[in-house]
Amino acid sequence: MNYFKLSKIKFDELSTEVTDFIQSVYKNTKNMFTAASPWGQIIVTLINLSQKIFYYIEDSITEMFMTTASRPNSIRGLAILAGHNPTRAISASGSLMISHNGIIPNMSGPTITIKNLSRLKNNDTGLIYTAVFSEEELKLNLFQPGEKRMFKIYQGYAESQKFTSNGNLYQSFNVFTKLGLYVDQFMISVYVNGEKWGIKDSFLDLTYNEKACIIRTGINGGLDLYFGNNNFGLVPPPGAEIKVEYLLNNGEDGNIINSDSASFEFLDPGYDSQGVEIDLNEIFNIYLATPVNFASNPEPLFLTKLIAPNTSRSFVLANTSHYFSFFEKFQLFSYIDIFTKFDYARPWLDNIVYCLLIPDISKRYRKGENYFTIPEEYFKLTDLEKIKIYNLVEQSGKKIINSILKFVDPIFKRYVLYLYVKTWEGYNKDNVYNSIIERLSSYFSSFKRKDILPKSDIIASLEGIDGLDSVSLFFISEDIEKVISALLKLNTSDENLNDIPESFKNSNPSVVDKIRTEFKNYNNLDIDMKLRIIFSQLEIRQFAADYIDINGDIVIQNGTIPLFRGGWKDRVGTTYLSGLSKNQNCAVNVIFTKESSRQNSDSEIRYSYNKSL
Amino acid sequence: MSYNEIYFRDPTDPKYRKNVLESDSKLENLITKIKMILYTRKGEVLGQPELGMNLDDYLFESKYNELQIRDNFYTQLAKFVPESSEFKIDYDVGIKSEGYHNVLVLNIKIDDVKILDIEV
Repeated sequence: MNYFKLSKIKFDELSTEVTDFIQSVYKNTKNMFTAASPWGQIIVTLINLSQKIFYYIEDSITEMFMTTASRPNSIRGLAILAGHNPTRAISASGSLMISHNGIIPNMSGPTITIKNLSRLKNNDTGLIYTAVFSEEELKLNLFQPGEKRMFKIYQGYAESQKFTSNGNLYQSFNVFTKLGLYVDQFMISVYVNGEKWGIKDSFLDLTYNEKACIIRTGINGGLDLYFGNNNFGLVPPPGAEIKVEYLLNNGEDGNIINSDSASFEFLDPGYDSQGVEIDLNEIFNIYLATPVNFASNPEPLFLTKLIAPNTSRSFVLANTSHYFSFFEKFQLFSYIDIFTKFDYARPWLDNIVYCLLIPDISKRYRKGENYFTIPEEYFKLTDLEKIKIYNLVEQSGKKIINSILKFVDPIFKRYVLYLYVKTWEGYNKDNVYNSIIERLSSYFSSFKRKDILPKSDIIASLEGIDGLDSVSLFFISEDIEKVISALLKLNTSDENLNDIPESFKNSNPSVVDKIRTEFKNYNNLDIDMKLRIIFSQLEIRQFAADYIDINGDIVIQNGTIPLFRGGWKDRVGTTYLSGLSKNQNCAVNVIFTKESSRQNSDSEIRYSYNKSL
Repeated sequence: MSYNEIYFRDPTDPKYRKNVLESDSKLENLITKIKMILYTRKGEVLGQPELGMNLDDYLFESKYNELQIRDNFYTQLAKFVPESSEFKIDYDVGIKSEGYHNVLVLNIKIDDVKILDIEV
């Protein structure tokens, strides 16, 4: 009997088929078997149960694919299956210097002992930091003049959990952690019966009876700990105490942005030779020796989804996409470019991985700062940061042995932006200006494109500012202006020839002579005429198009980063200030051209209508 | 038009008939449906969140609204008992005092014959 037609397999269609069938069999109206009738209720319940089953099937299928999955557990589970280990939070780290302030407390013996993993508190962030020494304790002789020591600190505090081994093969344990705090990516130790065991990435990395285990980021947070099967990693004996020690941190909140005024105090005491507690804050001055930074939050889900397919199955950093994923998941950089070079004559060149990283500047803003006002150094990695990144790569143990990581410093190409703005009447222009700067700062801080910086993106980012009616904009490039202003100064003598950048002269050797000859042929040329002659040269137009294309968008050349900064002059001698100013020429020049009238016909209604379109 | 339905009387019911599995009496089927409405709590039946009168909610109530209960009953009838329009169904809500507590009495008559008397 054909109760159901194969062409009608949607839930509603199946439900209709059932009721139609009942109606035809019982020769009555289908309304009789309502949910109040026992038979109707059985049918209704079965239909709804079927719907639930359909829902569960569809839901399971949806959650089985990385692109369609939406639940955190599914995404992390799939990522782990793909060989990707979602990155946990990384503690902010730096170093402190303590020096004796001359006060001798009531103590026995000359030496103060500070235990490893002593806790300190930063008075700006209010968070706990842990001192990490290379030995078990630090001993300072207070009677030795100028006694001082430097040590590393990590944001967070150490915590441990204990488990008992049952002696089985492939034992696994889940380390639960408190909500709101993160387990550090690197600062984890595993002890079995008090002996420190190694930590590896994969079962295949464990050797015969090796005292090592695997630690992965837990699907539900925390950590998952796995032991081997004797052939691959030693099995902890039955009853053995397994202790997992880890650092709990607050992610990127632990970065100390204002390094100049950072102040710390010890939360844990020191001890004299008799073991009597001594307040360390009374006898030591504490200084920040190196900045406390480089913290990041755990890998967000959208990033896990994005980078899990790029994970190297062999846990190595081999090609550029592996490096890209590796750096991307730390969320420390706003711009990442990884590339290699190839040269037949120099085959070793292929092993060098070039790496251009721009720190995520939005995490470096202090109060009142934005993209346009922060120092230019913020856009570059410091030497100390480069060393930290090298260590990060080495610490991961993933770098293949013959690859060399080489940092490329970004070349900044400076631009200024002119915005012509129409506002609605009645709006405060200062408020509109501040909103524009805020939106632009946010857009440029997270700018990641490597081909062009489109005008339309900037206009789109300003859309919706209260009181803003219309915007038009253009960019001015420092490099173009430098060349044009040098060419404008060309006259019969060559006195200004040195002003023309060498790079331009080398790539366009004949164009300077051509322009000079043209200038000689005419007398008393005004600036407009000179510009016409300059831009009549194809080489000049091509040179300009390398910076600003025909659409007026900024073209991003290889290895360069567009930067909106003043501090230079244009072709007519206008100086652009390096900071922001409402009244003087600077990186962002907002010119209010007109106020659109609200009373003028129904323009605002039409504006709202168009906006809704 | 009569239709067959599962016989649904409880064995404790005085009118329970043994060995009967199916009912083709229109009145009997109507009574079954009314009982289903009265004894069901909203949300108990999967996919039918509106079915039921939630009568046990009144168990510990010191106040009740007769009109609301009556209105609720007739709404349920209209929605879940389409054949109810073929009968004259009366629904009376009364109250009687028994010592220290009040009893809510629901009398249901079909074509002037009392078929159900529920005390809450």
